[in-house]
Order: sequence, then C-alpha cells, then structure tokens
Amino acid sequence: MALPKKRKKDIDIKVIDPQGGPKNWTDQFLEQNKQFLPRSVDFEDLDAGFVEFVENDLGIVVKGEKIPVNFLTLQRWNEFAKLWPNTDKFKNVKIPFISIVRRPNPETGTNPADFKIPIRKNFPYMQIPVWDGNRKGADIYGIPNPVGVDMIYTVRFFTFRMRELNILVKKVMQTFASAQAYVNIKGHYFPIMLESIGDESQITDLNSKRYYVQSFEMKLQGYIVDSEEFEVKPAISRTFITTEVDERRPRSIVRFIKDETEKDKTLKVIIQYLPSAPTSLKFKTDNRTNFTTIATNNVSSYTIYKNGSPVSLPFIADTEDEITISIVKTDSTKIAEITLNGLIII
Amino acid sequence: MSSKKRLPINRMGKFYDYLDFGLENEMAREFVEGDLNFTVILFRVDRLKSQTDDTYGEPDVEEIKFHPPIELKVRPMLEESESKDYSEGYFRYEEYGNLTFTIFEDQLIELGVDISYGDYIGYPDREDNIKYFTVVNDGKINTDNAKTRVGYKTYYRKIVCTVADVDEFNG
Repeated sequence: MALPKKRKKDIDIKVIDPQGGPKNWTDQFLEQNKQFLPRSVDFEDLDAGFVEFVENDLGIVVKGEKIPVNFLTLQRWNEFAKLWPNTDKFKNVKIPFISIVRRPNPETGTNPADFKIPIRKNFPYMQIPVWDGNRKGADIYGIPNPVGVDMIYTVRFFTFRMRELNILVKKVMQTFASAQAYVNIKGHYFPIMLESIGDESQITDLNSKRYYVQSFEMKLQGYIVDSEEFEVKPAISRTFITTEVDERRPRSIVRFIKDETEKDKTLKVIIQYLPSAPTSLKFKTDNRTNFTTIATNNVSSYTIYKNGSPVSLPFIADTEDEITISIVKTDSTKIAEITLNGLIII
Repeated sequence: MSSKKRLPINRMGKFYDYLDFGLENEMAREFVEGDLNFTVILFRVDRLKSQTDDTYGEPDVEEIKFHPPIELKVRPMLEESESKDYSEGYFRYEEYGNLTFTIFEDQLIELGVDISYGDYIGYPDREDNIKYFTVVNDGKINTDNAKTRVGYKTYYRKIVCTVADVDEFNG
C-alpha cells in the first residue's frame, strides 16, 4: 500500500527528557540577577529602563536611519552633549526625533500589585545554602517591602511628515494594545500605562516653521528597592544541647536551743539535713555539755564522732571538742532531722 | 492669472501715465538691482516631475525636482533670529528669522519666472553659507495701494519666506 502523498516528512524524533522541565529556579534567578538578592532599583534605573523601552520597543527607522531618542534634563551642556550628533551646522537639533521628558516629581505608587505593608520590616526573602569548609549552613536573605512610585513620562515625536507619524503611532498602539506594556529593569518587571495621546503640532502659524508633534503620556508603575536595606543573616546550622550542673549544695542547718530557766541548763541541738546537702555535719558547743538522748526523723542510722572517734550516748563534749554526726537518710529526697539533747555543765 | 484681453489704464491720465510709470520703475530698478545688488536664489519646484507620496503628497528631499535656479535682485528684510524650544524648555534651537523681500514684477516678467507658495529661496548671508527658506506668502495679490505708484499700477511683489529645514530642502 502506497503512502499518502501528503505524508508528514519532518517528524520530530528528538528524545525529550521527562524530568527536564524548566531550568532550576535558582539558576534562572542567578542568570537574571547575577546575585541571590534582587538588584536594587532607584529613580535613575527607572529612567534608564524607560528610555531603553522607548528605544527598543517604540523606536522606529525612517529611510534606513533610526530616529534618535533623547532624554534630557535641564543642564544646558548636557543637552548639547547629548544632541550634537543629531544637529545641523548651527547646532540645532534636527527633526525628526523623539524626546522624553520626565515629570520631576514622582508620585506615590498606584500599582495594585504592590502591597503596602505599614511597617517596613525585613521579610525573609530566600534561604541560600553555604559551605564554610567544615559544615553546611545557610544564609537568610531579607529585604523590606519595596516603595512604590509612579513616574510620569511624556514621549514626543517631532516630524515633518504624516507618514512617519503613522509609523510611530502604529507602533505605540500595537505595544499598548493591552493597555499596558512591561519593561524589565534589572530583573524587575514594571508595567507602563499609556495615559493619553495628545497633539501639539505647530501647524496653525503659516508664517513660521511647521511640524507635527505627537505626545504620548505614559506612567511607569515602578518601585524602589534599596540595597542598603537588604539584610543577610546566618541561619541555624548546628544545634548544641548542653546541661549545666550546679555544684553548690545546700548546707545542713544546726540550731542550738538553750533553756536557761532550768537550774541545770539544758541544751537542745537540732540538726536539719536538707535534701542534697551533705549527710555529715560538724559543730562545737559553747559550753561543756553532757549529751544524753537523741531523737531522729527520716534517719535510718547515725554515727556520732568526737574529735574523729566514734562515741555513743551519753557523752560529754568540751568546748574544744569537734562533734561530727553522720547519718543515713531513709528518704534522701526529704529533709532529715536529728535532735541531740543534753545538759550544760557549769 | 493674466488675461489676453488688454484694458487701458486711464486713471490719473492728466498728470501720470505709462511713460512716467516706466521711468520711475527703471530708475528704481537701477537703484535696487544695480546699486544695492542684493541677490537671492530662487529654486522653483517642478511640480510635474516631483514624485510625491500618493496619500499625503509628502516627498522626501531627493524626490523633489527643481527648475534651474535663478538669481533674483531683491530688497531683503531679514528678521532677528529667535531662540526657541521644541518641548517644555528642552531641545532649544535658534533659527533664522523670516525672510521678507520685495521684487519688481518687471524683473520676474523679464526672467520669465514666477515665485509660488512652496518654492525655495537661498540667501547667501555669508561667503560660506547659504540659508534656505521656503515661500509662505508669494504675494501674488499685490494691488494694494502701497504696491502701486500713486495708485496707477502695481510694480512689485512682497514675498514672505520662513526657514526651510534640511529635512525638507538641503540645497
């Protein structure tokens, strides 16, 4: 069976990587911005971007020559410096040309896509992995909310011929067919609105030079990004969990209670062993005392030492004797108490 | 538009006639064309040979064809130049003032030429410069009193020209 005459001969049999897809987002971003953070945008960048937009998107060629686009400020020498390539022998600018004049006062941004957040705090922008040679970490990039601005430009086209005017108007209409055009300034996309088209042609005076002037008022809805406000902070790269042990231990409490109403003065030594306090305590008495009885609480066993030698009740302690009582608590988490009763020997 | 039918001028016939008119005219022309000797160059557009854009009739410089240039002896009046701007104080330019000149009708008749709206005039104001103008008023209607000799007959035309841009005419 013969093949049909109009068979397809250019079947694309290239292997398509199903995992391909668009390039990695970070790579794309770096390619556009040459850095991780968005590039800063100021008024000069917006002006330069708009001029570039007019030159590239609205530029026209007449008789093989590109119509010059001139963006001027009020400096007279600057006007001369920019215009001299397109002047006659009296240094007057030659028609046709395109002029751009910016209204000096930028207005508050009206782009509805630019959210206005009252407090200009830094928002985390992206997390970039870093390697310091030893361990992997990350940097957190933060930028504040950009400041929206509207820049009003008036683009004028000066020409002697209607057919040249038609070329530019057609191009403007095509560019702004969707009411707005976009310009990419340092990686940021800004809309440009065509506000109005006016006519300032010098036609009515028969006795003077006559030429067409078509004016296009455009509004660039931009924003300002100041790199001075950017913030780069290191992210958490490693977590250390440490436990500190406090070496200070509570001391046991010794209280001496004398009963001076008795003829034979009694002395009651109350020793409280606080939880986690040492279970051995030394003390001396101010008077020669005969200790006779002992009462305990939360103590399973105890040992009394006098000058390092164990003694048992009753015993007499002189003022220079060092009495040591060591205990074993029944419940080590609770306070233990020993009450040593004796009589002061006068 | 001249008519083949001739009508004699009889006004003021008792004390002024064509002989007086001719004498004064010759004396005046001798002064203007001989003594003063201000010369301009007339570039008449050849309206038949010049190619024009169909819809707008806007020829490029090279598309305009001219008759051979002719020197005219005239009495020129060049206005003072003005410093102007194209756009809101930007794009300043200084341009020649308008050129207005008068010319005897007899000279045009003798040369067999006419000056029309849209023709170009070159005025050599310096040794190394010729400034070009375009005719904005060719003064063909010149029967007002000022352009007649005591009301007898018109004898000169007043031509008003404004600057021609190099994009329009470059000489």
